[in-house]
Amino acid sequence: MTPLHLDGCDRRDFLKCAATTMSLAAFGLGDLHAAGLPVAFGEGIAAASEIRYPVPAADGVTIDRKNQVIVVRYQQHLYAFNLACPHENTALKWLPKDFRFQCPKHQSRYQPNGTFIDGRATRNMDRLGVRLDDNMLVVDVNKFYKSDKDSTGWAAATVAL
Amino acid sequence: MFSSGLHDLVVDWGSLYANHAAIRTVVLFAHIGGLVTAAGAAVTADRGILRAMRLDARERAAQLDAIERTHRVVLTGLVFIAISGPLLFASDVDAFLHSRLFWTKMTLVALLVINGAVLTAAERRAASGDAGAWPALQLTAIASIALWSLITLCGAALPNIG
Repeated sequence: MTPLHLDGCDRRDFLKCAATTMSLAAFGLGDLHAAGLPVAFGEGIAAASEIRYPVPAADGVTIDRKNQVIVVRYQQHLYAFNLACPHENTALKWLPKDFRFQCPKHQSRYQPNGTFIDGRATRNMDRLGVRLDDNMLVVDVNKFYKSDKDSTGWAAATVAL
Repeated sequence: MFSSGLHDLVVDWGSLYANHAAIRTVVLFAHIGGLVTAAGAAVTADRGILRAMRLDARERAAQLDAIERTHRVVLTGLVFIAISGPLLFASDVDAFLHSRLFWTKMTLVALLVINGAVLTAAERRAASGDAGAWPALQLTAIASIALWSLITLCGAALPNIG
């Protein structure tokens, strides 16, 4: 539940992060993970169209609601996804027990690497451009890959570790 | 141990909710059905109060009797909402916790409950013959209609705006 970075956060952001963290801890909902990939909630450092995240030390899912980005480390690969479901733009949720993403609106399901399983959506989760820079994962939100329009770009939008 | 148990319960419920269309349907039906029942009866009663403002004392008393009979229906609807609401919240805790719209809705629900308490207190005073209670009844009836409408609006916007 700790934000990935507090550098650059103003006092209000910090207090908001702290309050949320304490509320979740009080209810025992912090560090939501079970069997499968652990999930964390954080916030990357945004500069222009790029957002930087520390490379996750282990497989897991990080949800950055402020920037609408999901960062996944899965099977020695890093991915960044748009938080919105490609069907009707509802924020996707991670189901740790089921090891997949699912849209709460129409229940479209996706694998941890964003591959569409079933549901009303008609394509995979939208990937964002990623690269490594000084042990940071740099996500370029201007590089947006839709699997039905650019399957090659979508497949290449990953960093192998 | 308690927090770990609660955490496991939330994860299990999230998975169960996501994987079973029948469960989602029942929970959502309880929530929307409760809203339709409670809001429908409450707005009808509120309109009755506003209409009674133009009536004489005898007709007002008859109107108050009719309004009083709707409270049980409103409370029954609220019970369904109160049971299904936390289940919906627990199905996607992270999304709701970070949603301003959700907290706006919860604030409106709290205001609605307070307004309901003020309204029933004024109604009791009016039933005991206190004519001075009617302006308070009128105000709370208008507030009730506005609050039910805003809560419904927030509920409709929640899945779309988040």
